[in-house]
Amino acid sequence: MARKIFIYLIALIVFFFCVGPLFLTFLGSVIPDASLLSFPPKWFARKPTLAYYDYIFTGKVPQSLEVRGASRSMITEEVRQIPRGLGTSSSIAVAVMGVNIVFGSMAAYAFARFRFRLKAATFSGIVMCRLLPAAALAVPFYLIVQSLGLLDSKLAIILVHSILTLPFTVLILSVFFRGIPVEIEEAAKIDGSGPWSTFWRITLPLSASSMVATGLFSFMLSYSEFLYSLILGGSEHTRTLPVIMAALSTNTDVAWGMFMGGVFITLVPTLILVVIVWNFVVEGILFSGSKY
Amino acid sequence: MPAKQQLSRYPIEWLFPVLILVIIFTVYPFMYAIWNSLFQILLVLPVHPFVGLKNYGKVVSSPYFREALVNTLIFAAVTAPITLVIALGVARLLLMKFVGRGILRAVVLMPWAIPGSVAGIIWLWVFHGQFGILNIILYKMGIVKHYIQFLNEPLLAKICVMVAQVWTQIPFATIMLMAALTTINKELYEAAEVDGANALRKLLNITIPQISGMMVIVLIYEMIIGFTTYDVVYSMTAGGPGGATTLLSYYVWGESFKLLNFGNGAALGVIMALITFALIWTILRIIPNEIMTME
Repeated sequence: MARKIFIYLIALIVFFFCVGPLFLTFLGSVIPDASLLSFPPKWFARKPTLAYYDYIFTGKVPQSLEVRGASRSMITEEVRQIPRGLGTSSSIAVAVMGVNIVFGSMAAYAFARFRFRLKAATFSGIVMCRLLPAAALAVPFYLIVQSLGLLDSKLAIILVHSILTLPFTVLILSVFFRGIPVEIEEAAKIDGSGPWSTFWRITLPLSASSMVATGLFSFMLSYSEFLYSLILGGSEHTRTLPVIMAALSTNTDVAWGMFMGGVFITLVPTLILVVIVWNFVVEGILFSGSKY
Repeated sequence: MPAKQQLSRYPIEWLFPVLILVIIFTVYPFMYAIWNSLFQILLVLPVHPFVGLKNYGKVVSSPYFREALVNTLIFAAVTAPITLVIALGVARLLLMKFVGRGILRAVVLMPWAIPGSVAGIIWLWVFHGQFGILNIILYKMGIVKHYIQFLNEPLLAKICVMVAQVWTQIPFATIMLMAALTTINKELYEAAEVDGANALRKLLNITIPQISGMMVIVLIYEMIIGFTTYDVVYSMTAGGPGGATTLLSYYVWGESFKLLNFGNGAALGVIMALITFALIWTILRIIPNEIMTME
């Protein structure tokens, strides 16, 4: 019994640690600034409002800000870029996820199953690449992308994000692939299946869950990446959400509630994704674990 | 397995997409950065004279560099093991049976979905000196009379950014460790129970040895992240107060793009890369593991 209580207590702490800050963000986006900034704190003195969201999506200026002239400056056109940034960030991240799953798994499989010359060297070469600090490569990257004529294009950002995510995808997937017994593939080989079709028809379906997990990992990384998106992007159609949010965070004029609204909108797609895919991925991991 | 024993030719058709992207697009820029580090490149000056290793001497002797380096090493050395330990506990918890487990599993993943710069903003609000939630809670509970300026005290600010960093890193580490935990053969535990082993013994003698490979991967990964991160800290404290939370990446970034001294920036980048490799080499040396051995 004591053990049960202990488990629930720990579960509760973990719950609040993970979800508390997010709930706080949502709260901040619906409480008028005047209540937020009050001392002693009275957050619920005024009615919560969705006016900030209304402004971000439709451009309708919140009433509370219109009344008092001074507050008018606390609205910025910048937050109106958020809906578009949402689309930009998501489409880039999906493309990066696709690149990772297809190319990353191919390379990982080669490392898990084949024996060839320079294998260890290639493997550590790929993995070590990720260890180079991003700040050191920023200027050379800019020049390369410029010479390819890809500045201010989504393709450039997708390329760079793929480079950042692939080493880890290869590392993790090769560990997973090595966990799959060779015997299953040997059976396919005896049936006359070459390595290529064995990979696509046997290994890939068997490791679907770990592929989705690592694919999601690359999605998150791409969706969150800031430095390169900032350098390589530029115009409105390549500005990703982290870039927009960073611009907002240095803009001291923006109302805190509107800022939090922007933060919350940034979080929504990935939060939904996490909840939807979670069951699939985890059940997959558990299932594949007990299978052998 | 006779097919596996013979050395096959280089499987270029499996590797080329990754090789082109990763090796070429990283090795070439890195070489370029090394090349740059040997010249005095100030963007405001038209000439870029060759200065050899002078850039390195200049940046290493700077007290700001040393402060940033010490900050970063402490940051990585504290956050990585803490993340690993918490994640192991959470992973173990999520594999137990209890009501609400499904909800908790989804919730634990949530910080994963959050860009570092945005996570910094969120935690800035938690610790904010004027309207931070932590201050409000402490005030309402009567623990403090005046708000604590968490992010203005060097030591407190350091702790705050570490909390935020750990928060963002827990989900990924948890998933990886959960995946590893599920592969452990349950019979091992049953056998241990028959032998009368307690929870601690099971943890030390079965769990940890069985998932040590994944633990080392997670530890190295978190070390790298901790050593090269900048976004969480940047949007939370912008390196302040003073230079108390300035991390190396942020320092390199400032040197390159704020002071427009690309030569110094490149030299710093190379130094950072060397330290990163040294860190990983050390970890792989002191912790027994089977990651880098290719069968």
